[in-house]
Amino acid sequence: MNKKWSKVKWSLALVTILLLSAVVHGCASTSDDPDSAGDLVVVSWGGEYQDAQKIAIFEPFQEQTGINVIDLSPVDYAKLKAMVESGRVEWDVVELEDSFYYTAVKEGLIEPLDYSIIDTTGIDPQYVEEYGVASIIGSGGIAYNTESFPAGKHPQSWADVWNVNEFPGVRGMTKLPIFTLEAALLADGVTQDGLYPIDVERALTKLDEIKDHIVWWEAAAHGIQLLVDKEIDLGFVYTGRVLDARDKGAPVEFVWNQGICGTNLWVIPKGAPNKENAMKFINFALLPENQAGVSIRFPYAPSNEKAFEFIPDNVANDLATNPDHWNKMIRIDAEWWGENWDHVYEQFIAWLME
Amino acid sequence: MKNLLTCFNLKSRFPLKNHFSLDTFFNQHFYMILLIPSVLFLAVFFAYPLIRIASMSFFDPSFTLKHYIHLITTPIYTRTIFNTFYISISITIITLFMSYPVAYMLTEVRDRTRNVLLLFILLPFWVSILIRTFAWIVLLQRYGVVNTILLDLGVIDTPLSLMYTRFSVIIGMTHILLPLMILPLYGVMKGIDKSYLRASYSLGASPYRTFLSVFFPLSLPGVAAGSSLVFIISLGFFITPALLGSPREMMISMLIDMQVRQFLNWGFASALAMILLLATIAIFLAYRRVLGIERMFGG
Repeated sequence: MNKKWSKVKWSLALVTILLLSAVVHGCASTSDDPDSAGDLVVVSWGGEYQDAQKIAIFEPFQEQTGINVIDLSPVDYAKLKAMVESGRVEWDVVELEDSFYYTAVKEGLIEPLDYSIIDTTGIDPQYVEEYGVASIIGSGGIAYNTESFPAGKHPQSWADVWNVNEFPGVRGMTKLPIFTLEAALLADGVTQDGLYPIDVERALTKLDEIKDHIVWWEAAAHGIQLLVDKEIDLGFVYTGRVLDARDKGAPVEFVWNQGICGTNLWVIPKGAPNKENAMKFINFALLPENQAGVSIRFPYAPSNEKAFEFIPDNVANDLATNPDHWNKMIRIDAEWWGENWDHVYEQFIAWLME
Repeated sequence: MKNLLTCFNLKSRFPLKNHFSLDTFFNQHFYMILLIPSVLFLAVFFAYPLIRIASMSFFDPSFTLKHYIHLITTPIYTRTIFNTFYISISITIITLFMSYPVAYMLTEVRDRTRNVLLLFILLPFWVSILIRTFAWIVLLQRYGVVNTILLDLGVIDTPLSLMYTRFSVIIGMTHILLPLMILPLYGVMKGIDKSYLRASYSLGASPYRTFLSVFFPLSLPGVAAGSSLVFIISLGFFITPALLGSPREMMISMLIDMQVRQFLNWGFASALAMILLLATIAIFLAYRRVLGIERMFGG
């Protein structure tokens, strides 16, 4: 009896130790190999937008240079910070929002761009920064469901959105202070000049008026989905998403008046493995034909003015930089947001929870 | 082993007290080798990250209590913590009241029926939480199932706003956590000898009295196990309150998420996480003191 049990014991121990070593060995050998020279990892915002970028920029770049382009999504700021701080950076090029750009610079997360490789002719100097260069000029603004508001009786300004009597229904707003506070101040009669620095108290008081009618969305795709499903009747949604949904047949429409513009920037994370390739990529991405290729497929405006030579008129009508629209829209002060994001966001969250 | 010991004459060189013998110790506690994989796994993937998070909350970069001070002095954070506890306690009580009769019924029915009923309880348990949460969204949203039915029946004129309220959060979380209350309750209840109840009746007690004096006290370990499980899990719950609730229903988990992903303030997020951990440990210790550790595992 003892002998048999002894055999069982020892064989169990042997099995355990074998399993253990297999696991350890497995873990060791599945560690990723770093990107070999001749690769590039690009990270953008996913969905239809990134599909457009793939066709217009990523694939042509790969064909032309032979560099293997791997594109990922979505951009995750926490991930970026984790990578840079731990020294194991896997991303080479990232598309950041302008409001985060200043935080990224402050925290030392991105590399300065080499403008001897990156050619910025055609790009307005205001879009060229030390650590990043604008990729697209996007916007968001008033969008509404055409089934809730028949033609002619739709909201045309933020003041209208705040008017619950004439325009009844559920409003959708982004669960961030950026865009939301601007919308509130615009509804309160403030113009671009008086917008910054933002009077947060005034904006929150104005928001109190419709707070009970607001549904808050976080992801861009969620916002447009709510509008299409009529879970919200009107509110703030990103332009590109609305127009894209409209072109695909959804009963939604965008109001250019009092739209709010911001830019996205191409940046290179500090310590990126393929910096040279990254610089070449950004240079390629800024070329007019390539920017036009994106704008044709997804309605965001290019940062390179020369791109308009390649964009047909009917598409140009839908872009924010079109003079018809540009003058009606207001621009985000990304620098102000970069400096004040933290405490304004806390104030906003505190207000949200009341 | 025996050879080693006799070879080096260890036994006579180092006479051990209480007749402790390495040989018998090894023979009796052999199972410890089998524990090595699990212990290593837990050490690397659980203990180490936990220590990292604790150190992140206290060292930023040098020793500081600023995160904890910020936490205690800012009203929204204390309000969120209070909110979280309030919602978790409500859910625990509601789940308890809903599960108790179900668990009792499970002990009374025939085996075949019981297997079918257990299947109904366990199947949703195995479906992903995210999918179940989305199912509630489909049911409760403005033009979702509930509203459309009521609208078509003419009961209401405009859709009820069921989503993004405390109601929707509590319903969603209760639905998801019910099996976790039913199963421990059932586990303890089926061990209660029904002859005690019969004895109570035979001594003249009413069913009501029997329940209060005999059945309920015997089921308390199950109540303790189920409630502590449900409560601790609801404290840390993220997906359901995030999707079904409005910002007014913000819970600690959502705050931590915001601090990690949008504020990138990991020191503060770690402090929040430590508070959550401390609360959990405190509850665990309270249960241990009041009811004894064996009882928590149905002993």
